[in-house]
Amino acid sequence: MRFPGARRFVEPAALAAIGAAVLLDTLGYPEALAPGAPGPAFFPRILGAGLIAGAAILALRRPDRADPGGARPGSGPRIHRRRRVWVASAWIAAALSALSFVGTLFVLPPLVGGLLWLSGERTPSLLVGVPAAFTALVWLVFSVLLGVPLP
Amino acid sequence: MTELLSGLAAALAPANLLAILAGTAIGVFAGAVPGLSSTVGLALVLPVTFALDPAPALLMMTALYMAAEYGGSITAIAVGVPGSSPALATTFDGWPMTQRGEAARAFGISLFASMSGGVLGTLLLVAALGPLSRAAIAFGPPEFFGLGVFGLAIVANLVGRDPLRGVLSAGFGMVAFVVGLDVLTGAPRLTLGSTRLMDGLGLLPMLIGFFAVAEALEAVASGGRRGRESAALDGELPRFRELVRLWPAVLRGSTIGGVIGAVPGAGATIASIVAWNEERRASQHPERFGAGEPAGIAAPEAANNACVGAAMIPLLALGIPGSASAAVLLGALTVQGVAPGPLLMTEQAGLVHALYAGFLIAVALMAVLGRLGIPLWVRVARIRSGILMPVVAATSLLGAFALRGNLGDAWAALGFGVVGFVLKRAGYPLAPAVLGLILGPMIETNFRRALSLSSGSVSVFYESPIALVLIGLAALSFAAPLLRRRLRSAAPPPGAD
Repeated sequence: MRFPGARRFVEPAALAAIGAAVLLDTLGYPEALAPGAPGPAFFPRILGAGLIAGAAILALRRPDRADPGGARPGSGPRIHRRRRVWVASAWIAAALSALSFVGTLFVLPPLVGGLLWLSGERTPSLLVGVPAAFTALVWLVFSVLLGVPLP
Repeated sequence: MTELLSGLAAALAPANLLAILAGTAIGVFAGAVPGLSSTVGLALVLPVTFALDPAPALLMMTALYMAAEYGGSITAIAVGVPGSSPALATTFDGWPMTQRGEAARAFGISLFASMSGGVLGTLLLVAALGPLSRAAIAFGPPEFFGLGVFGLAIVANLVGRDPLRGVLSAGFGMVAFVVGLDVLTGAPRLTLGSTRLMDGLGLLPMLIGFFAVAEALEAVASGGRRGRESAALDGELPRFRELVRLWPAVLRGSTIGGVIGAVPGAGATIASIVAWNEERRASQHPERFGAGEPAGIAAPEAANNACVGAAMIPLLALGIPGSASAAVLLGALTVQGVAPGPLLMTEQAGLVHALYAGFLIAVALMAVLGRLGIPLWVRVARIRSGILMPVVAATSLLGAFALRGNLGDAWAALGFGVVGFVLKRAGYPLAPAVLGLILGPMIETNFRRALSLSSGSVSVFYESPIALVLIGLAALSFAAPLLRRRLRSAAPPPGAD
């Protein structure tokens, strides 16, 4: 079953859910240490209530009131662009996961090369040269010159 | 004057000059790489200074501190990613100028303002070491609360086209700061039972995530076409006449930086954001701010460099470090056997005068390095975003890790990056969220502290003239743009009867 126009309620619903989660979390907070002073729950409750109120206003106002980001220039249909972004995020996450096991110098070239590819770069010399030069620079600056221990 | 000249002679000794040059070069680099702030740069060179005499050791560190504040503006202007948090306000107008093809002009203005702010902050240090340090410790919880609220009022000028989403974005930032242990009671808040979240999410991962990772994802989404509208004016530096015209903005920014920098705990980030906002309010064309207005670079850059000299006031006169960088400097002073405090000027007058002179020499070297570097920064700005942003994102993630040696910070930066990308696509401006994260702790902690001290009486806020003025200014600052917007929308369009 499809609900036309339901899309515009996704954003307020997400906001209200965050606000409600913040409010729920405050139920277990202790009281303030000094009498008369606000405790640790005071500020998060204001924030949670504020987010829910904001969500309500977003849901109730006319949908044409604000520009919700709009379409951005880019190559390919929108669905492909969105997929590329999620692939890029997953690629970075995979690189961070591998960092402790494989080491920075082996993770950086595929990380940078992959992001270059996803950004539309197709020149072979750049796809190989930029990650290699970048990794060498990182090793030189972080490990040799600054002495920062990299994984 | 004689003491200053003798300090200058001491600072110009070859070993000291070399130390200042090394500190300046490392500082520019540390400031420019997202993740490596002045604090990290100082912490990195601290072990090196153990082997040096007190004068070159301290001169190297103070030069690094000064140069790092300028370095932050390089990436802020070249790629729209603040190299360090005090350069956040510089991105508001610096990056739009680069997108417009005026990168060299923006770099020139930033260098001029940083130099001027550095000199004015040092002069303030020389002139007001005694009286300002006494005034600075008059700041208690009500005054800090007022300062935080005043800073937050800037959100009203950063909301973009949709005020509601701008305010909600600030709310997100504040929710992010709540995550972790409550400072006053130690109670875990929004940690979801995870011990890893008890340290909090941190400003640096948010900055890197929102401005580096999210922009890299934006470059991926746009097929590498994120970026500039024109490349025609990349090589043109600002004219002398323009720099003279920007002098009032530099003076205002330096004054704000000098005052806020002298207050322990306030810091260069707040000073530069307040300076940007005040410049916008003082301008006859506030609508140009955020779209590439030169004064929007000059004021915050002057403010964050003026902060460096000013931050030394409570450090040298009272032994109170006003910022994380000043705390590392305090460590260096202690290691070198220099005890900051009221007796410093009588016991170590020669060293203090050499430090004054060292700041001025560091500013001069920063000017040389900065001027020589502008063609290089411009070349960086010219690189296609499809190539530049993956490299910036990878550097930033490494910087996030390097700060505390914690891979969790790099994961947090990735998380913030994805959230930032989604928020941007949904029409939420990201700068208010960062402001919320920076100012939230100052506002909440000092509000609760003030009410604890007054047993819950709100009179504590209006009995303090400083707090009252700051809260009043905040109300004015928050209401003015909203009223202006309302009046503009109520006014009939031009030509309508």
